[in-house]
Amino acid sequence: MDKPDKHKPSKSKEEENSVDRRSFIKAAAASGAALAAGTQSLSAQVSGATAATAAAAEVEIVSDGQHGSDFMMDVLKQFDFEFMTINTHSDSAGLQESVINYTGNKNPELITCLHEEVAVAMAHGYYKIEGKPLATLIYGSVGLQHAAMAVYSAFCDRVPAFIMLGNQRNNPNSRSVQDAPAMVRDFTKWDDSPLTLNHFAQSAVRAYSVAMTPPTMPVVLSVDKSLQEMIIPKGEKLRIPKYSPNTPPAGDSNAVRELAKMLVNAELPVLAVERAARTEAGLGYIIELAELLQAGVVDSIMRMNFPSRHPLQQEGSILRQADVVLALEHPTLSRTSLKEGAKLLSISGFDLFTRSNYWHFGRYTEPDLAIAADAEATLPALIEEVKRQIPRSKRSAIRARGVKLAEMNKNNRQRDKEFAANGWNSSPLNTARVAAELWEQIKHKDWSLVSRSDGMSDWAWKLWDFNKYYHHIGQSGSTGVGYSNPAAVGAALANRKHGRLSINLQNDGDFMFLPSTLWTAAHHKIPMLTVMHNNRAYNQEVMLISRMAAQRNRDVSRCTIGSVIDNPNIDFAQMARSMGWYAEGPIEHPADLAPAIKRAIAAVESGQPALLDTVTHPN
Amino acid sequence: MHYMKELWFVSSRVITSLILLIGAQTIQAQISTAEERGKQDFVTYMCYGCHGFTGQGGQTDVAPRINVDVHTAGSMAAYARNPGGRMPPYRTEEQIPDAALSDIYAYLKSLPPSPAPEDIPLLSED
Repeated sequence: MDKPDKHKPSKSKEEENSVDRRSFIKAAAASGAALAAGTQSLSAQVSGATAATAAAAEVEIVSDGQHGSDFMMDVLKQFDFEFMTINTHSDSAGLQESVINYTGNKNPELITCLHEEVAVAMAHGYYKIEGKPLATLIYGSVGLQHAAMAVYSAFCDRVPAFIMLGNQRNNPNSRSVQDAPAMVRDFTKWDDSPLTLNHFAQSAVRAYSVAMTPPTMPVVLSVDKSLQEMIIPKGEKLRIPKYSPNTPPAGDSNAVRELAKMLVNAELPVLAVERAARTEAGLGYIIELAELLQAGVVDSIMRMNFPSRHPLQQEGSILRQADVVLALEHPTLSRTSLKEGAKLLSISGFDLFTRSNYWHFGRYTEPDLAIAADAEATLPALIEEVKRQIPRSKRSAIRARGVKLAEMNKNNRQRDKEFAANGWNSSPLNTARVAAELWEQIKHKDWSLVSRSDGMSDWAWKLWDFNKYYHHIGQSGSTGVGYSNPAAVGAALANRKHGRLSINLQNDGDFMFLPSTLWTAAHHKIPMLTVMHNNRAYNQEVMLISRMAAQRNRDVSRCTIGSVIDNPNIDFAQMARSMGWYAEGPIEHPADLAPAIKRAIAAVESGQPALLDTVTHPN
Repeated sequence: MHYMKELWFVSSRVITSLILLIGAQTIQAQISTAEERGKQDFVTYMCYGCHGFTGQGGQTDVAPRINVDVHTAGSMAAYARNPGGRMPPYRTEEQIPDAALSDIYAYLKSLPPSPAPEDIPLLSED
């Protein structure tokens, strides 16, 4: 956001009409540095805060008597939001109109959502592919109430959503709220309700900076209707602080050295990774560290931390054999899952910021050595330290450990194949077969799994070759039902410009929370393939309630009541077609799978979203 | 008189058909196999929820496959009455009759063997 005039809209009719309006804002200088010496900004006068440090970067804008929401868009420009998910509402009319006509519905482009939870969950999925947030604009009262679970999922999953709330504090009514962000303050990192436009500028930049600094989390800005719609007095000087990204917090070098020593001296070191890799680079660091040590890796797959077919990839049971376990962004790893006397080491940013009311943090893990820092930022130093400390005398033992772990991995994979083959030809469909049939047709394409991988009994993770960061967005964070469908569409939106084939393995119960997500995908031409895990039930609850009845010596046979989704069976294909998708199903016989997948992929590659309603076994 | 004969003839045919039909249904009920009853019981008593409709199992830490290596009807029934791990205990006849357990065993044993993974091209990748 150095030069307001670079925000020229594209040459639509609306934009041509908006030129006069845009011309009201004049840059006082081409660059912040150039103007810094000459003008004291309004925000500096008002708040007295940060003026000295921000002065060298500030951009001053002189009003020609126009709209507050246009200035807000100037502020947001420097974050380069590609999209803004929105559920339209009256209290953000000014801001929505500015997106449309002032910035030409480009950077950000509005993504129409028919439910506020869709708007935030799409932002969640988008970030996990793109590595930067999109903006979200929803109603501050009833809209945020709808969106709350998605905000919580993003918080638990350490995803930086940038959420703006329309509000109207000078007109008490059922849709106005005194302190709009309060409802989600237990599960957001920062919020503000600016009183002036300069206050908005300050808070927007701060919000973005706070959100993007690990541990990354959602932030909320309440944007009052009066502020959006105010006419900025002619000649008033407004100031936009420049955003300077924080360097992620890296671990103390002495602690890193000590930690490396414990890893190098271990008989069987294991890396337990949860949200360790924030980027493709993080994935590479974890591979490098594991291979240096020939350490086992246990992955809870909250991020794409480690390749699924890497020979050092291990099952959780190996934690009971390890003498040293390094938990990377895995703050809930239970000491009870380790063998007695094992050393538990940790690198995590979790303690740098957390909230207390919602208990997503688990029990205290009693680490032997804990480094409060971002794991990905700390790994390069740890890798160098491990390289330095490994003695020549240990190299053959380390190699032998790797051979043994590779053999264990090979045995696990063979066992998985035997399980996959069991019930291979059954109807309803074996979920392993659904995953295998899909893999056969996507493995030579540039694909991305935009849903959780723990649906369909983890078969995608067990059978597909995940080795790139965008191959998988990880799980949901809160495990709240309703996350997957919109998060998948958000991730597919991010994949679209890269030309990747987005695959969504979609549970039926989750789907029905927000089916309107399909319309958004079709309307915005977001290509993706959704394959239903249609077991016609909330099957986990079917299992739990059956078990409860059995333990109480009661009638087990009635335990589908309240948990199955049949009578009538939902026709997902018909639903998808009604909202502009290519769709087939219900598909119940394995012989019908491969041809249907082929046709659906062809539809997706032509730019259309496609859905296959596959009727599956419960798990 | 001729009319009465015809009426008797038709009536006797109808009665005979009804007897045959009822008999057939009774016989059908009687010949319903243990495997067929077991397939139904597998759903009624919620076994499918964890083990899948053909006993192939679910996630490895939730439910094992039970369509292979089921030793005897007795051992299976004994385990169902007093299980270990996360298996729900079906302790009483009210929860599941012995006969149903026996039929479920017959159903599981009747299932055709699944192909070996090495015979499935889709599972042939290293």
